[in-house]
Amino acid sequence: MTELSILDAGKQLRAGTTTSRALTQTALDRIAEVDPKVNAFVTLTADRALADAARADAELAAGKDLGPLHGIPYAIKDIYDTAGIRTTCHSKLRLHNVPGADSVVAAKLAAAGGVLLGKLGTHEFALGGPSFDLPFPPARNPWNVAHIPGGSSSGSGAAIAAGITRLAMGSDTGGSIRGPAAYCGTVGLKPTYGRVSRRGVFPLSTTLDHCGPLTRSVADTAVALQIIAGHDPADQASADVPVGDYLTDLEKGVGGLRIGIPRAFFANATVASPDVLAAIDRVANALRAAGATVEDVVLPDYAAFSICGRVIMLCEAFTIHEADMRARPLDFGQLTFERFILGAAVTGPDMIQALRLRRELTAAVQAKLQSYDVLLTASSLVPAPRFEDSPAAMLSGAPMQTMPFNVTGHPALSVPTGLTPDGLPMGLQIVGRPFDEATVLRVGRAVEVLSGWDKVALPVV
Amino acid sequence: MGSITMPATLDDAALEAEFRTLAARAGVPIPPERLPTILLGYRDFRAQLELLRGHGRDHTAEWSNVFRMLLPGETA
Repeated sequence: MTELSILDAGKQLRAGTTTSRALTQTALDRIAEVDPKVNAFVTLTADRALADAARADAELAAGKDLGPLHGIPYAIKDIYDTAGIRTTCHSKLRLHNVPGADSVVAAKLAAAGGVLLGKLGTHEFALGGPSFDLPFPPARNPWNVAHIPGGSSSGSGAAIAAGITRLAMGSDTGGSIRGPAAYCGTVGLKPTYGRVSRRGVFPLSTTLDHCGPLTRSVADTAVALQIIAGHDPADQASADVPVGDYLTDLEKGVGGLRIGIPRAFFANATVASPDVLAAIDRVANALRAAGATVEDVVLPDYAAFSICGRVIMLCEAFTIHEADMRARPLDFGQLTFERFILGAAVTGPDMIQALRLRRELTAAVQAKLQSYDVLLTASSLVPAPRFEDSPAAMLSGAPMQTMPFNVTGHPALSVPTGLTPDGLPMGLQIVGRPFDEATVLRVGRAVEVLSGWDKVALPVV
Repeated sequence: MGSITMPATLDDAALEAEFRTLAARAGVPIPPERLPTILLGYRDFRAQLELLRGHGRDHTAEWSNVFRMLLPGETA
């Protein structure tokens, strides 16, 4: 049942060959079977889910159709406020926090008839992890539970790859959707900055934070974005730009599109896996054969994007947590504290210089996208590391290649490209023009087909 | 973009002294058992900061810091 796409499950619901209650019970059974191994969930809402599913069945039977998510189970990262359901940020500091209202995204998914299975584990406050000193254990990678699932949307990636649900909401400040997507073999979209409201989602770094979905397929991501996108006047960063049609052109292919590869981003990196780089080249060649123009392009040094994003993120994050850092330092997990405290080392001029640099970098990417429809680069330079090989300190040499597009705000989609000889997923990133998620998804769908990923079975957990 | 130069480095004692000053200024007590990993991260972060400071952007880039008045009828 979890192999059904959201759209196919919806067709079966409307044809009467399944019910929302059956889909939900299957998901709950799968949670009971695999979650003790992968730790994707921190809070289950089983009773509520079954009640919501029964209501969806009744509504559909009565001809009240709320659209493609109606009756479909999903889950949500535990930094999104959910009315009456605790929202912990995976932290001792907010362990008993029960919001009175839904975040905008949670409200939109509920209004679309989705069935909430529960809240998903994250790195503490979307930064500190994977950690073993928090109220809940870290999520594990369903492809090999000795390996990390990536973060910070770790439970989201694990829940999709474990076959529990087709849709899990994540958040992305420096790669926290795209990293787990690459490590867990899922699709993950960081929409354009301002495309999806962040209101009611606990911030890590306000000017870098994005909300977006992790899903099993590009089509599922398109369905989810169609529901959650839109202007929110109460989110100062939200853009009053019409929501596109993300499904109609999904199968249109890449003929005639121009794709740029900022090869120096990954080709000069010392930690890059040959398997990951070979997969990018295979996909690039396949896209070329499918009718796209694919060329190498030059962007500013990756190091410039990295420091720019790191300064802004640490400064903003430290400011958010400053009072608790002073008063309750030991209530933060060790990794979280060690990372947040670096924000105290950012001076005012450092922050101003980072903002100056941010504008330069954004203009440079924007200029390149005048000539190319999308850019294509690595999501992560390596497959998922083992837990014991995940660095304790937050270092600049991390293998993720995702921060540049948090800095610039461009939409970026991570799509799987295949498995390593060791059976771990690899992914690449497709970056588009502001608010042109439709083209990003169209290219993503082509990559999904050309790489053969749409024929790859979920792992046995 | 300007060229990227190698950052200045500090020995361990000087690095720790500098970090302790910054943490004290921020008013955050540092649990002793967390200090070694923090210093590892700080050494790396400090090297990155040198890259940022070495770019030589001046007041002509100042319009990056946007402050504007609300328009009539617009709310904060």
